[in-house]
Amino acid sequence: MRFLICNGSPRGVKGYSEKYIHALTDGLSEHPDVLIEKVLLNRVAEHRDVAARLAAADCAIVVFPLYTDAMPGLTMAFFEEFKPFIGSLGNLSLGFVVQSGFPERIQSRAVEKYLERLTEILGARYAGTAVFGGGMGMNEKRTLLLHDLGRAFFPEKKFDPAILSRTTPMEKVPLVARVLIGVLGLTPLPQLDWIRQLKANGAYEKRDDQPYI
Amino acid sequence: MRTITILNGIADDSYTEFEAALEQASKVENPDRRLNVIRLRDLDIRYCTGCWDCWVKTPGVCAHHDDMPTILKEVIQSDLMVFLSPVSLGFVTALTKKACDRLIPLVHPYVEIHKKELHHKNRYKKYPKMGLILIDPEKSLVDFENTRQIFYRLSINLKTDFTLSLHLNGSEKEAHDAFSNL
Repeated sequence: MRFLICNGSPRGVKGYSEKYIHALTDGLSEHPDVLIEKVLLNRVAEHRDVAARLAAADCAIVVFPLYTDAMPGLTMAFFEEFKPFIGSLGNLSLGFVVQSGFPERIQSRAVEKYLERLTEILGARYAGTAVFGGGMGMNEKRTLLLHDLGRAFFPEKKFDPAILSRTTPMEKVPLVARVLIGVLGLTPLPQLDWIRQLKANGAYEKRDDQPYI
Repeated sequence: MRTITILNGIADDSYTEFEAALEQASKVENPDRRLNVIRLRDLDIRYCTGCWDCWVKTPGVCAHHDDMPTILKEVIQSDLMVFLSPVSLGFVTALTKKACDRLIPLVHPYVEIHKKELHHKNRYKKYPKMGLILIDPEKSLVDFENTRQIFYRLSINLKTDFTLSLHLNGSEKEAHDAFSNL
């Protein structure tokens, strides 16, 4: 069984998507008949060739970080290479993994709906979308969830809904947490990581610059 | 006078008559508004690489040296910013999405609660209102609604109001009617 995993992060192997793919692949690899191929979508010149390989695969997963509420521009450029295959991918099971910096599921609901529609346009079978909110990074919990998603992908050729529900359980920030964040927002506490990075780059004094007015 | 900036994300010459009508509308003298059309395919716009330099190294300025700063300047000084795109695989063109991604220098990295959700803080005091014009000869309501929802989310992130969404078939007449009434 041919399985294509596409890394849709503009940062390629340097980004966190690669770590997500690694954990997912570990789970998928527990199935002996699965032949996994991994591709980087930041190699834009290869999009047409990769789209053809995806069309010939049995299963494919596209992994990407949420950029301005949807897929990164170069991932959309890859999707556009599917135009010759519209309505013809009946043998393909297509799924997605979305990494979101903010913790709420609602931040990714719109793109999730679009990804299901994209799959429908292609005539493929929708394998589901795993949304990981609360930071782009990787941790032990996510590693285990991705491993489980990979392991449970077969025989149905789709993500297990029970595991999907655990990837980002919080739809919206609860009232109590919002109040707390609002109070903490009066202090530098919620911004500490950004402040640290700005200071490390000698850019803290310019943090509020407005260069375009 | 209101300034309306249209980010034209049509990626090829498939809608020449539509674009001609848009061009014509932008040249009509109107004391109430200026129509500023930016044809994205004519510009050098690179993909956002997610480096975050625009947040933590050169606040408000992208690491790429391309035509995007000109667009950002036009956008932030507008009253209304409109994304114009043909439907492409159920969404906007990659060209349009590429430009969307490059808007992030307009916001601050710091986070806060906005509309009961976590979002980045404003960098600027005022942002243009936002609109979407989706060209779709088949007029798929599903694709229009999905795309509208994603752009509505983007308007929340840019702390502005999503005030315009039009679903056009790409004809010259519809273009003329739509742009005359903006």
